Amino acid sequence: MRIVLAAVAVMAFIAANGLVLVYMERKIAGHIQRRPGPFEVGWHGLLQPIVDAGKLIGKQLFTPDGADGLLYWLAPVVSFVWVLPLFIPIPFGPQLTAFEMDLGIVLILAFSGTNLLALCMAGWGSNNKWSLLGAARAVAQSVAYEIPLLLAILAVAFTSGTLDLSNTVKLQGGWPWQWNIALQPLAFLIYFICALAETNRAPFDLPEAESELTAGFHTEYSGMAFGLFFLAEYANMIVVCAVATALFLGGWQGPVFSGVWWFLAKMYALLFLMIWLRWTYPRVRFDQLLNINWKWLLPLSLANLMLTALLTKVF
Amino acid sequence: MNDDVFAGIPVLLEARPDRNRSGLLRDLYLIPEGIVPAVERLFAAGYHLEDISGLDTKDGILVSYHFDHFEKPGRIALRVLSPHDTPKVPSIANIFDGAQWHERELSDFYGVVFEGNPNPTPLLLPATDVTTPLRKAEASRVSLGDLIDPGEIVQMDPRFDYFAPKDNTDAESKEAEA
Amino acid sequence: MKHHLSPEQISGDFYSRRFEQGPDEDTLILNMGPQHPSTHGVLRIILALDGEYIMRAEPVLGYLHRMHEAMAEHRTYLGYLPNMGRVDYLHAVAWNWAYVGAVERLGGIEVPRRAEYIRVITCELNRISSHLLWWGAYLLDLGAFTPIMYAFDDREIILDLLQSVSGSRLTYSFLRPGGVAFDLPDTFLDEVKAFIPHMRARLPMYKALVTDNTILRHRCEEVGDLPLEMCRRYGATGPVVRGSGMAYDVRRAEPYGVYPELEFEIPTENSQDAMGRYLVRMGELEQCLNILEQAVQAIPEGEHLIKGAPKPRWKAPVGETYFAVEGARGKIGVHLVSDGSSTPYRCKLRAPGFSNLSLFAELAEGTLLADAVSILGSLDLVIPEIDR
Repeated sequence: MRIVLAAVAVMAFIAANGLVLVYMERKIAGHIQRRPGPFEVGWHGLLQPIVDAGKLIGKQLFTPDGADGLLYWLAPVVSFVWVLPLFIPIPFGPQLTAFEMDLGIVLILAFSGTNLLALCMAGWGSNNKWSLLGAARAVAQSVAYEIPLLLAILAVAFTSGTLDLSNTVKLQGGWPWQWNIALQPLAFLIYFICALAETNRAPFDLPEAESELTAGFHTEYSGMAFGLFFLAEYANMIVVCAVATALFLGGWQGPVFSGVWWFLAKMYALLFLMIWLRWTYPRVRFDQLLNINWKWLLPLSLANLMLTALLTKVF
Repeated sequence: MNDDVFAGIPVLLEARPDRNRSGLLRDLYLIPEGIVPAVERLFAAGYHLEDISGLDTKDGILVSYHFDHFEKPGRIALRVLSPHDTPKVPSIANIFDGAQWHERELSDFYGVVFEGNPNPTPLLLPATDVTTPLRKAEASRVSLGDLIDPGEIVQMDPRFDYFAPKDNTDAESKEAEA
Repeated sequence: MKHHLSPEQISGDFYSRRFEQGPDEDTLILNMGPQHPSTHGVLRIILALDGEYIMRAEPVLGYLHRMHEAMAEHRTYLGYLPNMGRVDYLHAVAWNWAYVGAVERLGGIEVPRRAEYIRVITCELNRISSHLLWWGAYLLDLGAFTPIMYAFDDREIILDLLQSVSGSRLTYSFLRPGGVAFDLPDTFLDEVKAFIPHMRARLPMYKALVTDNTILRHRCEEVGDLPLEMCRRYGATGPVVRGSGMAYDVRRAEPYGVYPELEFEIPTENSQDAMGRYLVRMGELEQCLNILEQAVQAIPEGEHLIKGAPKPRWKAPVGETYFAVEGARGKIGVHLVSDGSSTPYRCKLRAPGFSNLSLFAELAEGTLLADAVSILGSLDLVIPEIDR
């Protein structure tokens, strides 16, 4: 029963946040670019996301000539549906976890890999060479960046001694120096960079590089199919920021009045950072992207892990 | 200005035009077989190809090659006059790679065939519909002498008599070409 | 290992099929364009990719070909002038100047000193706006969505300035044989004097936030290595050849107008890569501001158009001329032949982008697809001038 309620709540949360994030992204992009962003629809453009959703729903859905029908239509569905289980172990508040599980982190890491499958299906099923290139890049990028991500999270698991997200939050305190980031600053940095790469956000957005590949793996999608990819990307962003908040920034704990509002505030701060980075930096070239991973992030995260293991054992 | 650049190359007419009016330092009219050796000399001397321009005259299609130098500015024009019905000129694309596109453009606009061009496909006009748009109707063509004033003629093959001598003091110093 | 496809298996049009003859098993034939966000216009490049590496590239032109050179033979000398703005809409004043200069040479027409200074001021302002748009679009290709907005902000000031003097925001038909069409409005010089320090203050911000950005430097440094010898073989000019170490500028090589009286440097870089070409153009922005400063100080009073300037049905004296100017992209040349009638006999337009693009096929071999995008951006191409 609790699971069903939780599933419904999670879907509502994702949908609502999708709308909020669309608005946030466009407004922040606008202001960084010295323009106001959406302004016409509603007061200061607040109704813009609803109108966008309406537009996407109303568009014609078509299958490109020669596309593999099953793969083509399965891809956006898989992309979106598979994000939902990721929200289960996340502790939004002291009592607001969908399902307390001891292996929450493992669940998240396991399911986040399926996003890749959706990209591959989209890239191949579109019968479009540009989508194929985008999918090929996405595969290499996701697979590569999962490893330092894992190692960074493991470092935190070492210091906390638990893989349960709720416990990790409870073990931290309200004040910033009591958060895990104070213990594991390098792990946080590595985690955040890998999170950017896993969610295909700039400066690592090669799979959907607008100016090179027209739109990468989702070139041939329109209407709600594109909307699903879109929502899935935002949902992924929310998941990684939520996990970062829980693991590194003390979750729902705050100096005063701990609760879900602190969680949301921290999560949105990280989302703001992600959006900010997207509109500031150019795109990293593909081989440089992989170089950053294999030559820098992997050795650093390994070193961090070893050091953490050593210090945890000693103290 | 290197006077020996074209030594030994058969020249139909060499002139020093009015530089302020024409923009040219030297102006040479060559036989088609002479264009490749002449361009090789210019390449060795450090020149770069500005463009290849066509001109449809009563006396034939004049293909003008314009060269300039990065460090010693001074435009040199090499010209080849080709008959209307079978305009064929050896390609210089193996010397200056940039000439490939210029020659393809001239093929499109005038129908000139550049023998030896590595990629003789239409460049600007549709592949299936090359109509040589810059060729003029026969009645509109003007003869070469009524278009270009060569200026001071340095040497001239007597068979290349498109430019009537006018008041050139050098008109008497004609050199018979082998 | 060669694997020849049967004719039914090779798809595409004339150019794709010709390109694909005898393909390798492991290469992917890809059409970049003619609709593509980063080919800056309607350019099509057929690529043979091995993974992300480009094995062969071939640009296919003609999608924007309007036969300007034939239009010249059917219009009067003055009537053809608006075409020049449409050939390269980003540096229209320079194309105006090339054509008008050729006509003046043929006709032996003088230009008043004030008109010469007005030409310099408008040409350099146009050059700044062209470079700003190049900069914004280049960074857009590389994935930075913000600098173009800032560039357009500055460009807006220039467009307003040039509109006040010529009436157009982009495709200027402002020069005339014998001078310029209109004299400057009263407030123009003061507004230019206010613009110069404003632009000077923006350049350090662009440098700190964009030029020195590590990601940008990694996308541009050592990308598209273009030796000087290759520039010479293809006839490349402008920032492309100045980024390869040769300080060749038509304003100094074949001086025209009042440029001999103005002091400015020729920014040159030796790195031969996309970063070199980038830095050359950023340096040219500063030099343009220098020239503007001197020109607004030195501009004399006088006429803006010589008395007896060609009227619409003017007949040019018989003759042939070649006139070159330095455009934002390189050496712009107009080869004009007159038979004494009121329409040109031949007007050949030498576009710098044409020669600059012809070296792309050789330059892009062996590079990554993302690098090809960076190289195309660094060449600063405007397809209308290539196709004419």
